[in-house]
Amino acid sequence: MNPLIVLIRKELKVEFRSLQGIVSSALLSFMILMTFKFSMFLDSNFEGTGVLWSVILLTGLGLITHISTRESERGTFELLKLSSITRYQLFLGRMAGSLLLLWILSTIITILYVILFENQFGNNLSLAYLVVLVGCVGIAAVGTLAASTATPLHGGWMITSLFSIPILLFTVIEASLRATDSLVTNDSDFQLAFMLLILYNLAFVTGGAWLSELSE
Amino acid sequence: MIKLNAFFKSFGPKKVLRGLNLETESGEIVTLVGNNGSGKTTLLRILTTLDVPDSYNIAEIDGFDLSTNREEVRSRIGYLSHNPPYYPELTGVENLKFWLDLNSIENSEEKARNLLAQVGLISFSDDLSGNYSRGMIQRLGFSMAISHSPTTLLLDEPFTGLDSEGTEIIEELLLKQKEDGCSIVIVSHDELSYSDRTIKLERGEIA
Repeated sequence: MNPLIVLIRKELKVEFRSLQGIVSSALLSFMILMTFKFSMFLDSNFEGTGVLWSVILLTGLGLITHISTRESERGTFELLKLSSITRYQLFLGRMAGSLLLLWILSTIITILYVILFENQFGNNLSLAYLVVLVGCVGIAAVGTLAASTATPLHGGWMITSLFSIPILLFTVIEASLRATDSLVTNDSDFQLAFMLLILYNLAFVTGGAWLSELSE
Repeated sequence: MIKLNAFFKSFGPKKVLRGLNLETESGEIVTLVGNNGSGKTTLLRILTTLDVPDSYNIAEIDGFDLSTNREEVRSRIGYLSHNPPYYPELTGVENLKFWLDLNSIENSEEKARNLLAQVGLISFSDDLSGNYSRGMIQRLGFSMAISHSPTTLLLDEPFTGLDSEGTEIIEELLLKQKEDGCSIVIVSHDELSYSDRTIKLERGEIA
C-alpha cells in the first residue's frame, strides 16, 4: 500500500475516534465568527471575505498544530521517522492527512459563514467553496512543515503560528482573499488570483517536501 | 552487525559518548549496562538514526553508514524504546498493521495477528491499545520492533513493566531472533544470563 494512503488512513482513524481536533476547532471557529458577527459589524455594511479567511487561518493552524503536538507528545512522530519511507513521503503523507481534516473544518466554517453573514457569494458560492478548498492546501503545507519543526520544542504551538502566519498572510491568504472578494464584487480578478493561489500552493508543497528531504 | 570506531556525541558542553568502539556479530546478544547518564540510550538512539553523532571514523550497520545511508539503516533495525510509542485510538492489530503497511510489508493484517499471537496478545488484538496495561504496551512495542525482520535489534530496557510470563515470552523471541542471525543490543540495568557479552558504559566510554 502507498505510504501516503497509510498515513492518511491512520490520521483519519485517530481523529474520528478521538474527535479532539475537529470538534474543538469547529467550536472555536463558531465562537470567532459569532464575535465578528455581533461586535465588529453590528452597524456597518461590509463587503469582503477577510473574516472567513481569518477564521480558516487561525483555527486551521490550531488544528494542524494539535495534530503535530499529539504525535510529538506520544512519541509516535519518532516512530514515523523510524520507518523506511523517504522524508518527503513522510511530509506529504502527514500534510495530506492534515489537509483532509482541514477540508472538513473549512467546510464547517464556510457553512457557518454563509449562515451568519448571509450568502455574499450569490450564485458563485460553489466557486468560493472551491477557493476555500484550494487555499487549504497551502495552509496545510506551511502548517505541517512549521509544526514538524516546532512542536518538539517548548511552546511549539506558538512558534508554529509565529512562523506560519506571516508566510501565509502575504501569499496564500492574500491570493485566496482576492479570489473570494472578486466573487463577491464580481470583479474580473478571479482568474488571476486563483492562478496565483495555485502557484503558491505548488511552491509550498514542493518546497516543504524538498526541505523535509534536506533535513535528513 | 554494528561497527563503531572513535564514536563521539555531545549535548552542548556535556560529552555523552567519548570515542566509543563497538562491534557486534550477527546472532550475538550484547547487553549494555551502566549507570543513569552513562550514554546507553543516546547510543541506541544514534544507531536508530533518531540522533546524529558528532564525529566518528566508522559507524555502520550491516556495512551501511549511519549518516549517508539512513534509509538502508532504518530498514535493517528494529527499535524498542523505553516508552514504546503507539496510537491509543487504534487497536493492537491496527497499530501493528499501520507499522507494517508503512514499511511496505505484504499480508500485513495476517502478519500482525501472527505477531500478536507470538507475544501473547491475540485475545486483545481488537481492543483499543489505549486500554492496554504497561506490560501489554511493552509486548506490542516488541512485536513492532521485530515485525519487519530486522537484522539488528536495539532494545532499551525491554523488560520494563513485564510480568514473569511476558518476560519469558520476550526472552524466547529474543533467542529465536538470535538463531535467525539477528544482532541484538539490549540496554539493561541487570546482566542477562543468555547474553553473549556484557559491556559496561561509564561516562560515555567502555569500562
